[in-house]
Amino acid sequence: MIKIVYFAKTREQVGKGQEMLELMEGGQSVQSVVAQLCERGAPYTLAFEDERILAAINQEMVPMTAIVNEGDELAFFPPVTGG
Amino acid sequence: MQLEVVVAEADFDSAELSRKLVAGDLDVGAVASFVGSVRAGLGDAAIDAMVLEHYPGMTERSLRDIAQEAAVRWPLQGVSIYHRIGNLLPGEQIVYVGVASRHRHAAFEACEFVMDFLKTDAPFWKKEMKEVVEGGWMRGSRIERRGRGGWFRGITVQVLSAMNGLKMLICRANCINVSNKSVCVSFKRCSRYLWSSCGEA
Repeated sequence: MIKIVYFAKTREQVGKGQEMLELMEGGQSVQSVVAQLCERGAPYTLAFEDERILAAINQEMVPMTAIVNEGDELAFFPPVTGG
Repeated sequence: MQLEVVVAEADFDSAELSRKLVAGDLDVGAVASFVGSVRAGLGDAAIDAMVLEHYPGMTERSLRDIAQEAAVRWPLQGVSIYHRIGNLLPGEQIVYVGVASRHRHAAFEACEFVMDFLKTDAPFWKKEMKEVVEGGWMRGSRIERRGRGGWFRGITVQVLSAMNGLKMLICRANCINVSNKSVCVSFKRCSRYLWSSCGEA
């Protein structure tokens, strides 16, 4: 199981701030998790339609090719706008 | 090097933050600081309020990493970053960055560096709020006049039933009564959230 957290507009589009997900066997990339979530249809497909969406594993930014491990916290959010 | 990173709702006093940054270090010859605030904007770009969201844990770590990166590139005595979150109105302060060094070039340049990377790397998101409704009725929500119950400004109320994708409203004035089941609001001006898009905030 991994914990997925969403922020900002991504959270609004998905409709929730977090959820748990069962990983498929044999290791899984962030991109593969996105595909797995999008299989659920809307609103995930809408949320992940934005190519600029960013990901972090255990609070560190990662590319979409990074591998997610059991027990990780995976976050999805739009480009940052602080300052 | 002294490093102070704070992410909080409360407003700050930049003079006090700069004093703490120096904290009696007699080797400090220069302090450069920056304060960012909420702009009201003009015409179509005008906003009534802003909400700042962050990723608790990752945001603080990101700010510390940025400060430490600055300390690698310049000889610094101290870095202080204070970034607010939550509901902010036009004119309010958002962020303070202060840098202390022995000489001025490092202070000026490192301060700019920290602000630039804070804007590109630190996990914060701004929601801009613009007024779209005037009057007493909102679709999908029950509204009652509550008489002289009290006056509130800038209160954030979570609407429990979504309307047109709206999840939250900020109500500017008049009495607000929030129960577990519904929001009863009597208001003059109601503003709705719009997410600011990257690059336009």
